[in-house]
Formats: sequence, structure tokens, C-alpha cells
Amino acid sequence: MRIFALIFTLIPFLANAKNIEELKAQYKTPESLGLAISMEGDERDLGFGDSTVEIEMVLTNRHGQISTRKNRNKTFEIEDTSVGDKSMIIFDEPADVKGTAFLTYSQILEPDDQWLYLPALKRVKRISSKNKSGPFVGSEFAYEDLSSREVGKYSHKYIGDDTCTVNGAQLTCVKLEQVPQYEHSGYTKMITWIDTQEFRPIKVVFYDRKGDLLKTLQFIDYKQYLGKYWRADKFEMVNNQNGKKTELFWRNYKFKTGLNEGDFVKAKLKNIR
Amino acid sequence: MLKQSLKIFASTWLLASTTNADEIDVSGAIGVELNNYLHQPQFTNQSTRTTQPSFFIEPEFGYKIGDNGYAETKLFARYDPYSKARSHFDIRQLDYLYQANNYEFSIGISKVFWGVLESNHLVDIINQYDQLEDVDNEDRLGQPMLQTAYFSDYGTFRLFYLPYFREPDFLDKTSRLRPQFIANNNALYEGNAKQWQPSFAARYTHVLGNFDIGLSHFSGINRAPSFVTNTSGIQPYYQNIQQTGIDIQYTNDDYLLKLEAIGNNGYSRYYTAFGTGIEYSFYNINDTGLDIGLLAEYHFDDRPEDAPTTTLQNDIFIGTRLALNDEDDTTLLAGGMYDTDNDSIFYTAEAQTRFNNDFTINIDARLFNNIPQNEFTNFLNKDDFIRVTLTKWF
Repeated sequence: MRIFALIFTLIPFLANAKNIEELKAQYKTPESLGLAISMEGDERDLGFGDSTVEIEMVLTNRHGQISTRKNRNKTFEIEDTSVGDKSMIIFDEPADVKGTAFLTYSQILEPDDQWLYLPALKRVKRISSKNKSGPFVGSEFAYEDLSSREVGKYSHKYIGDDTCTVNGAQLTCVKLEQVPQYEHSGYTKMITWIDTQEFRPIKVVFYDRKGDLLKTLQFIDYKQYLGKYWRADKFEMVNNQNGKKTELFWRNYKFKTGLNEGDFVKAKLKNIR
Repeated sequence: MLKQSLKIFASTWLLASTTNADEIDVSGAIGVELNNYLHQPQFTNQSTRTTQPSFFIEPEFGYKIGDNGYAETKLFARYDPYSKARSHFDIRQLDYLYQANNYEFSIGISKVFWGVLESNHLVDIINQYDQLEDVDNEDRLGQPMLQTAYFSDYGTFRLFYLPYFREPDFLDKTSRLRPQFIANNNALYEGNAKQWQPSFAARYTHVLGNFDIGLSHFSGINRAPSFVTNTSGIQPYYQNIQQTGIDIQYTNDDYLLKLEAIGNNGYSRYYTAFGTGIEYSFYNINDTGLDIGLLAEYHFDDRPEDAPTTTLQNDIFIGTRLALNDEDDTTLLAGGMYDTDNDSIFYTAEAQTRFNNDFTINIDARLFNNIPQNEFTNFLNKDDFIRVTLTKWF
């Protein structure tokens, strides 16, 4: 019974999924191949519906001092690729910001729609989300690093193959040069390593507005959920210019939890917990 | 008053205690506040201590009840050795909330916030100000209410039934920041049922693209009193009003446009008031993480003499908001409210940072400059203060 269920879930996946050789044969220019690789990765992640996850954020400064934050994330997938997902971040720690929440409607090229809930005042504020490049709660992650990575936000150019380490194994990766297409990005380009087995991002190197190396992000310990969706247990972002580091530990992922789009509205933000 | 409030909401407690509460979430804050007054007081009997410490605690308890229910309690207590009145206790929240897919209801003592402006909250009328805490009108007393909301694609509709009126206390004779003549606590009411006369409110909110819109109507006891002088001294007088409000925010790339307006019927003539403002932000300046926001707000009010007094008849607020976006969430808000009628300025500054993960330190300054003799807020003229608050969060 279980095997049948597994086969049925795999059939559409196997029918649609393309491997890297097929893509390379079909798309001849670096730009079209880059886009095809990104779209393949996006397609393989389609249909997760909604997800919830707990996030621990460990910030290390250049003296090795550590501070920790905890929050929870809820995401509702919008399958239409011309608009982004809807998501919520709820802060649990430090205690003085407990209960603070962000509601975000991701857009592709326009600034996201974003509301902030301040529990002490019981106040919901619509905020401008032009702030893409600024640090998220003092971490090495910018807001744009944590917003949903929709294909249409970047240009994609295939620039070569490389080896990469995923869950301790040596795999082949493709390297893409991605340039943000939305305004107000802090980056001139990103180089992204994507493994050719499951089309997961493995590493991203960010270049600042002057074109200098800024940060390196690594996705560590991938796990597969519902037999399909790959999520890394840990993101490690190192700032190559100031030596600071932020690690994100993603715990207790749940998919298809029964959240619906109506839960992601401003009017419900003040009763989110 | 406390006893009565408890009696009404005993049912909430009962519900919370008899249901299988699987998990109690305890959090809150405890802290010490140092008020440093820059001048000697204006009135006799006011404490002449320059530095006045006080202590506060604000615990919060949350209980999940089943899949859709949540009970929340938030208490507040302050002990101030230099002001008997300021030593006070309040139930900020003690309510039960039931949430379904497209509706919710709550019963108990709650707090709601309406509006979009920063330097004044014009449409926000449900909860009383806690006048003992600060002069910035940001602290509110819990208000007993029955609240229901309906969520639809056409917006959110809310109804409020407020069975009991929370009468705020006023600062007493030893307190700084108090008026020259102290109102007694024998409040007068227009309605015969006094504070048991119910009030009602309705509110509609919707998001239309870049516009966040709110429409509201309140019918009942005005939250702000007029004052009457008679043989028993100065008495607060709470009248019945009808007040309609609108609040709109337009959110663009780097600026916000805001409007709040009310129409009030309840005094010798119908009056209107509005506030409007702009907030412009520069983000991540030179890639340092620093955000600077500039705020400008204008307030207008044409209320008649017999309505509760306001200082904001024709006033301009100019301010700036700085956020370092560092790991300690360091922020600074500073500004001044300029009264165009009498040239007085109320300066305010608030800074906050975190240390050791669960401590915060706040430094707030409030300076009252040049308030003329004939203005009712003249009593604040000698009360400039700098407040340092150390808070431990748990």
C-alpha cells in the first residue's frame, strides 16, 4: 500500500523532471540554460502547499561573541509564478521582542507588501519594504536573502561546472551567475552552486554594490520531506569583509499543515502565535 | 472597581481553568525606572526629589485552549515611593479569544489599537489612557469588552460591546507632572447608569493595494473627561458622544502618507479634528545598516469649549527615527511638537538598546518649552525630565 502511494507520488515527478544532460542538450546559450536550471529547481519544489518551521539564529561577531534569536516561520505557497508566496515570521526570543510578527506578500520585481505587528501596543503597521539590502535583526542576512527566492527576481546565466559537497558526499554542481532584477538590491551579482542531482542550492557567493566579494552562504545538511521537498537544516552566512557570521538552524519542518491563504491577512496578524 | 471587573470576567477564568489547558506560556518584564527632574516643582506638596526611582512588573500568561481558543492575561503593577497615585495596578488583559476561519470573538479585558499616526492617536478610542505612566499617551488601561470580527474578501468587520467604563485615576498632590488642581475621584457621568452604561463600537478595515483603510464609529461614554468645578472641588465629567473616525495610510517605496480624522457629536456643537502626516525613510545608509526616517505630522482640532481640552488645535510634529539594525536593535526616536497658536514646543526623545540578551535600557526625555500661563498644560512647565528604565525580560 505504502509502495503504491510512493509510486503514485513519484509518477508526475519522474514524468516532468529533467536531468542536467537533457537541459544542456536542449538549451544552448548560457542565459537560456541558466534560466532552465533555475526553473527546474523551482518546479521540483512546487506543490508544498504550506509549511511551518522553527528557526534559531546564532549571530557571532568578529570577537567570537554570540547572541541568539528564535523565531517561527509560516509560508503559504502561491503557485502562480507571477506572484510570490505569503509568509509570516513570529519572534520568540529575545524576550523583549517576543510576539513581534512580520507578514509579507512577496512580489517578483515590485517591493513586497509588508506589515509589522507590535505586541506591546497591539498595533499593526504597514511598513515600506523598499529596505531590501539592510540587515535582518542585526544578522548577516539581508531582508532580500530571506524573502522567497522566486525565479523571476533574478537573471540566470550558466557559467560552468564544479564539484560540491552535499551531506558529506561529493556531487557535481553547476554554477549560475544571478543578477537581482528588482530595485534596491545590495548586490551586483550572486554566484550560486546548484547540485545536478536534485537541483538544490548548495552555496551562494554575494558581491556588493562595488562588485567586491561580500558574503558566502552555505546550505548544510539537506533533508527530504514528503518524499519530494529538500530543505537544509542549517544556513551559514559568513561576511567576508567583516568576519561576522550568522547561522540559521531550521527545525521541525512541517508541510501541508492545513494553513490557508486567509490566515495570511493583516487583520489576523495581531492574534498570531 | 477591580473587584467588579473581576466579577464580570470570572466566567473567563472558569472557562480557562476547567478546560484542559495543555501549555501555559509565561513571559513578561520587571524593571526599575529613574525619573530625573531638571527643575524644582511648580506647586507645593510636589515631591522635591530630583531623582525618583520606581519599580514595575508586567507578567503575561497565555493558555491555549483546544485548537481554536486562547486565554491571555497581562497584569501591570508599579510601586512609586514618591507618588501614591502612581503606585497602581491594572489588568491590561484578561480575555478569551476564539478563532475560526472567517470569524473570531473574544470576551474579557482587552486592548485594541486603531490608527496610523505617530504623534497623536485620534481615532483610537476604545481604551482609556493610563495617565499615571507617562505624558506620551501610549499606555492604555485594559477595557472590558465583547468583541467579534468577521473576515471577508471585502474587508474585516468588527463589533465591540463595552459594558463597563474604566475610570482612569489621576496623579495626586505629591506627584510630578500633575495639574495645579487635582480632580477628585468622584466622577460625574451624563448617563444615569454611570460607568455601567454600555458603549458600542463598529470598525471596518480593508487593504486595497497600497492603501490601508479603517472606518469606525463609537457610541457611548467619551474616554476623555471634561472637568467641572463645584462645592466638592474639581470633578471629572464623562459625557456621551457619537464619534465617527477614518484612518488611511498610503504606503509607497520609501514614504508613507497618513490621515486620521474624526467627527464628534456630544458637546455644544458638532466638531471635527484631523491629523495628517508623512514618513520618509532612508534605508541602509552607505551599507552600514543605519535607517533614518523623517516624520512630519500636522494636527487640527476645532472642538468647542465644553469638550475635553486638547492641546492639538493647530500643531506640527517634526521628528526623526533612527534604527541601527544591530544585534541589540538599537533605536532612537526624537522630535518636537510645535504649537502654532502659542509657540510652545514639547520635545521628546526615546532611545532603546538591548544587552545580555534579556535586558533592555531605555532613555526617554520630555522637555516642555515655553508653555504660556493661559495654556492648561502650563502645569508641566517645571517638569522637564529624563527617564532611565532598566528592564529584565523573561
